[in-house]
Amino acid sequence: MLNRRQLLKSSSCGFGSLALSSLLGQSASNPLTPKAPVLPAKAKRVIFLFMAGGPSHVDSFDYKPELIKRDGQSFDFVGVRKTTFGKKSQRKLLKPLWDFKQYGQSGRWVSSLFPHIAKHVDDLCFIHSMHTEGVAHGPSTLFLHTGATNLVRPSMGSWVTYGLGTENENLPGFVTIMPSASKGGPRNYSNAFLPAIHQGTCIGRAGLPASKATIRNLNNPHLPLNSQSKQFDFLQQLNRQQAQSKNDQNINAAIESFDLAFRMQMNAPDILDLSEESEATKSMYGIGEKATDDYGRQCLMARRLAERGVRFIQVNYSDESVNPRWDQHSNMPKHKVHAHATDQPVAGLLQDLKQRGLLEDTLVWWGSEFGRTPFSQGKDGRDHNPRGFTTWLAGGGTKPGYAHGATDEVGDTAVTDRLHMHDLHATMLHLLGLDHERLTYNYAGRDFRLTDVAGNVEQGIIA
Amino acid sequence: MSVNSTPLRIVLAFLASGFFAHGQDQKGIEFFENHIRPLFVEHCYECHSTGAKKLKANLYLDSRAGWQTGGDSGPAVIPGKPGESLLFHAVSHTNGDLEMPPKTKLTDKEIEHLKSWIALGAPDPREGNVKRSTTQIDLNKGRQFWSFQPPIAHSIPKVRNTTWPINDIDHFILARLEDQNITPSKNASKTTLLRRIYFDLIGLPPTPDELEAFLEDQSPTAFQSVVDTLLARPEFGERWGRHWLDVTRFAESSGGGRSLVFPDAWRFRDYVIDSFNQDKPYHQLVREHLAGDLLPHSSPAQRNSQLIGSGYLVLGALNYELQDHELLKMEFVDEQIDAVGRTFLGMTLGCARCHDHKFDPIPTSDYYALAGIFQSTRSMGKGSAASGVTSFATTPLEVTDQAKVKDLHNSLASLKEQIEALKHAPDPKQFPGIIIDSTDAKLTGAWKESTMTKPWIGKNYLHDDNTGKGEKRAEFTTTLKKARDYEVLIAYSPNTNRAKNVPVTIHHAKGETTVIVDQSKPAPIRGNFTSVGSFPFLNDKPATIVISTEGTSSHVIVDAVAFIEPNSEPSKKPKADLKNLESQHKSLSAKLKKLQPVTMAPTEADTIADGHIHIRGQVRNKGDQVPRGFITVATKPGASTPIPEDHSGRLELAEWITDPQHPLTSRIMVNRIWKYLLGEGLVRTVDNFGETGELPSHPELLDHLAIQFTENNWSIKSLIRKIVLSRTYQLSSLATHQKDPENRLFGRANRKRLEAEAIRDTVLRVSGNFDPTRSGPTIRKAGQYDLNYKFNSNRRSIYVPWLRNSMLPLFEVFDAPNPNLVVGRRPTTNLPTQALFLMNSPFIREQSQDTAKRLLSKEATIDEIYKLILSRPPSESELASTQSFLEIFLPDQKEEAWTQLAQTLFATVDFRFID
Repeated sequence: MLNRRQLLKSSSCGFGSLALSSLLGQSASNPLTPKAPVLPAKAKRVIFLFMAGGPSHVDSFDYKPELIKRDGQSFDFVGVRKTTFGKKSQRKLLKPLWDFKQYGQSGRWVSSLFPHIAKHVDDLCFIHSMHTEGVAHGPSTLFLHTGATNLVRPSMGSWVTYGLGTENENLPGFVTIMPSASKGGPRNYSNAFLPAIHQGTCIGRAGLPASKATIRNLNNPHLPLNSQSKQFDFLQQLNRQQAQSKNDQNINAAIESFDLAFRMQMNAPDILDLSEESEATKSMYGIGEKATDDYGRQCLMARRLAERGVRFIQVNYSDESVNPRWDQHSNMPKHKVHAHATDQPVAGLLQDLKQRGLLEDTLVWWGSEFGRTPFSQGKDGRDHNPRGFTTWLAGGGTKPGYAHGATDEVGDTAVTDRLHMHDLHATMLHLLGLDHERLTYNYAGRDFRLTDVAGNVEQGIIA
Repeated sequence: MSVNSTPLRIVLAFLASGFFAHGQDQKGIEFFENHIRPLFVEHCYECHSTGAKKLKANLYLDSRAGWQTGGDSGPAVIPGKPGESLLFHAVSHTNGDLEMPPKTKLTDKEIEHLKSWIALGAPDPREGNVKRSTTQIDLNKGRQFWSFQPPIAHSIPKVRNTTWPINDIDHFILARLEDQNITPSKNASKTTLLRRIYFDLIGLPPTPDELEAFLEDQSPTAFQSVVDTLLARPEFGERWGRHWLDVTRFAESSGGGRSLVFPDAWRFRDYVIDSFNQDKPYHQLVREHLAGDLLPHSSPAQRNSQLIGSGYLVLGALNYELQDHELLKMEFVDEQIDAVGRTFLGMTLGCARCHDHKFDPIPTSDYYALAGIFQSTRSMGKGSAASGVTSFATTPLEVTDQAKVKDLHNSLASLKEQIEALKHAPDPKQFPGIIIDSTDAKLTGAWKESTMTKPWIGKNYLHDDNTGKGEKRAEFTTTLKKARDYEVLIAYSPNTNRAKNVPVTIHHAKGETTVIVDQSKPAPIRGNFTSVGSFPFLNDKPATIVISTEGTSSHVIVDAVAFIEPNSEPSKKPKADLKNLESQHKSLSAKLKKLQPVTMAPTEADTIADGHIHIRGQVRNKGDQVPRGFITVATKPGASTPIPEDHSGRLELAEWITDPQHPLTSRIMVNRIWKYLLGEGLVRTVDNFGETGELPSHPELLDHLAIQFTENNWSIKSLIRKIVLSRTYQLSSLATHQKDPENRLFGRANRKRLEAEAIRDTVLRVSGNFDPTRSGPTIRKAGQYDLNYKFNSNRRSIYVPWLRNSMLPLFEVFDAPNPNLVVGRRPTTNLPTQALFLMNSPFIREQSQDTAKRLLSKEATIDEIYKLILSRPPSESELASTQSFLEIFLPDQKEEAWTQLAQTLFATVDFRFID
């Protein structure tokens, strides 16, 4: 029986010479052809490590000695939720549950939650002054991905492939690994009104093991490939007969889309197949260890996709529950579980990208929809905090070993060099060589942007 | 900036700005120069000065006039009044919507300086004028645009080839073709035409029998009678209803973060299907969508139907999870305006939310005139305080069986009572003894009934109201079955305000004993009872327990007394009975719910008022009030009728939109219908008739059809019939020349794509798995949210749950419309995901296999499978290819061979396109 690679070489279907442009029917130009960025680009692609639910910045990367000192003291707080909107209340400050230490030459502070990531602080660019819109998970998660809490807007990955195309025609330009159906679900990787080709392609979904994650309908569970290739030849034979007299671009595109699909079917599974990676590499990502296996696999898949030119890769650490993973309204100690599950895989990814020279032009983004409050909720929980939190970037032209901005002395509100989510979007687009004010799409009578009418590029975090 | 420094000018300027009085003295200027100017330069000029790269919010802070005039939100500083000055609020972050400078908050000291400066009267020596761009929308000029002028009647154009036209449509089409020297294509073959008309009118292919009958019918009216049959079939409404659901952005869940399931949205879907089947006049449909809850009605059925129709306004996508309620309300209004604009008027009104429309003559004031109408409409329900998620609005439908509902209500109430009683009382059957409730006690003095503090036995407990101490007592008497020792239990609902020393006297066989009970302490047995000890009783003499208030200083509670055999364990809860009653209650409630249905619908709001302009679209930044009204440019000058004070204005909006003279309404709908039948609209941007839309290819034909449509009582079926009976519709899709490559002149038929629903419905029909059930709710076990919905229905696609965050994968893959948006023109892509779906999805494989089994059991031929799937026999070359493909398989692989054949045919271009 032929394997995929042999088939690829021997097949009569004319692989290789195919241009995707013809698949899109309407226009002769291929929207996914790599486009030259309008600005000098420092990053070619993005790997977004999405920490769903809001990890606590004051317990991880935002070191606040004042908070430790004032543990248990009361704190004035203005409500942001529906029932407490604008109302003042007194809350009790809660010191971090984990000890902080300085790491690296840059001396950045990291808590004992992330011992592996801590080793890479000299490559990271922390932004401690993030703030965003919304306060519930749904709106803020949508804002993080699309720049809007309610209105239907394309996801950032869709904007990026719309702006830059993709470097590998056999693969989608925007993939999201194991996304959640919750908190906006498909809206978070939707192309909205951009052409459908910019929709994020899912690899697996949250809740299933990463070892089973694949692209939907990528394999035929009933037919071995060599039987299917006979069926495929028959199909294309009929198609060409039917198309013969019609001379219709659209029909030709439909026929060619089968060639591409078949080519994807032969290529993509190899990319998702981690078995050809060395044991050393796998263990660097924590693959094989129960706690870290899933996210480790996801991160390694991300590296393999990045290597092959996928433009925007989102690696989700999420689930399908009402309270997403990092959402510790009670039982903050549970942060430890999530930190443990992601720490080594993320550190492994950083190290792997670095040793392969990929970190230089890959923008790694670790972050969430918001952070958590410095005061306690209930006995040992923390509430959502969209007014101040930390995210970090690495590679792709960001300043390494750097910390930008600050929250107030207890970590509640961003006060210095504040960076709104729109600003972060604008800056990341800038690093990719895109001008967020010029990356527009005309829909229903007006031009739309990822950053709406806001956003400023933050030069301060660019190397 | 030009600075005029003549002393006189300065003085005049000071006088004019009123500073003179506020002490524009040297000290004040010094303060400004020392503290304020540097602060402005450092923190504000980047965005608020004439030198700014991009001026923000139209606010200048580099001249006195700058902050006096202010930006979009009005004056930035009110001299002498820091508390009323926007600038002060912005820098001190007292207003969550406006925090400046955006990146880093000023120091407390800097904020203090600004406050002092404003309090000083804001002395500021800086000169300069504010440049204001005052571009006003010219409405008269705007009205000149073609789509804002009412349709005009045109005479039917003359053509050279007079035998070609079948009806007047063909005259308009042929005249243009002749102008361009283009010969139209030939008529489509009968086979092609039949498949086309079937999919176009009912969304399903003709059966082989129907194909045969049509081919045999040689009469000149053969096609016409097919058309009339199809228009009368119930599948017509399912096909055209689906088009309308695209345009009304219908879905059965809210989308957004937590996507709420709309369990009653199916009623709207069924209503739309019925409306198209009944050929409801279009203007009536529009009225019902906008104001169905307000329209007069002559029967409960009519009222219900109209009410369901108004669901249009509340079915939109909304993130009900937004916590900022004021913003949420405005987002809802925005969604409604945007949808109404696109569905009925082909206008992109949303653009005018933040500023005057940049392309179309729609000022912001028009937007907020409409907003006032929807702000005066209640569109949302209450939702859950616990999750912070608001809910959708529903209204009860008129109930047909009133008596039954009343009965059910009564039964439910009695069940509820029993459940409550059981929850609070031990079941005598399971209680190892005798309980005497307070209702059976002999009372002395005034006792009050209460259910303030749980738990209690029976319906309630009694208390002495902490008065009449010593006068009040309760006596419980019973005759016990056996002469022996019983343990005596006293029930009370404990609370800290209860008496700590309640005397309980037990009259037993050996005399009487008084025990003191502390009712402030929890009752140790089952939460109800405390034991006062075991005593001997006789079976021929009554046993009596007396609870007194003597000597107490807090509330005394009397609930019940019980006698149990010593050492027997009072059971916990009478679970079995309770469960039984509760399940009865649940099923009765469900029954009642069915008899008392609700539908998603808006109502008039409690407060009806004109809205304010929201400056830059920000909810809490309010500008002038605008009277409720409509789009000025599409209204004849002077023809506007004021909206009555106590009306939201929806009814009037509906009248305005359905005015036969309205320049947009009829044209938009006629064009939509044309597009569904001919593949492209006369205006190809079917949802946008504004400046950024395309111009009509045949403006006269569009007007001609629009006028006929309104004159013909807005009948959709008549219009469809007319179009499909034209020669233009019946042409072949084969191009015979290179002219007009985009086919804007309709000299041939446009080849259309088979939509997701038609693909699925046909596959199911061919496989024999099609479930023909019509109407009704189809979401199984509707949960609160739509995520990961498991689809398992074989019903027609229009009945498949249409969930915003959980679409059936087949729909998603084959370009079903995004239900968050108004979609009059679905995208048609050729993504490889479609090919992968057709080659590898379990759905296609299973249906192909069932097709194979079904056909093989009938010993069907290759000819038949082609007719079944492609509605035509195979060509010679197809037949040859098919035969040689089937020969690859061994004789015992026949089912596999035919499975692959069926699957292959589903993937062919002739299946996926309509010629």
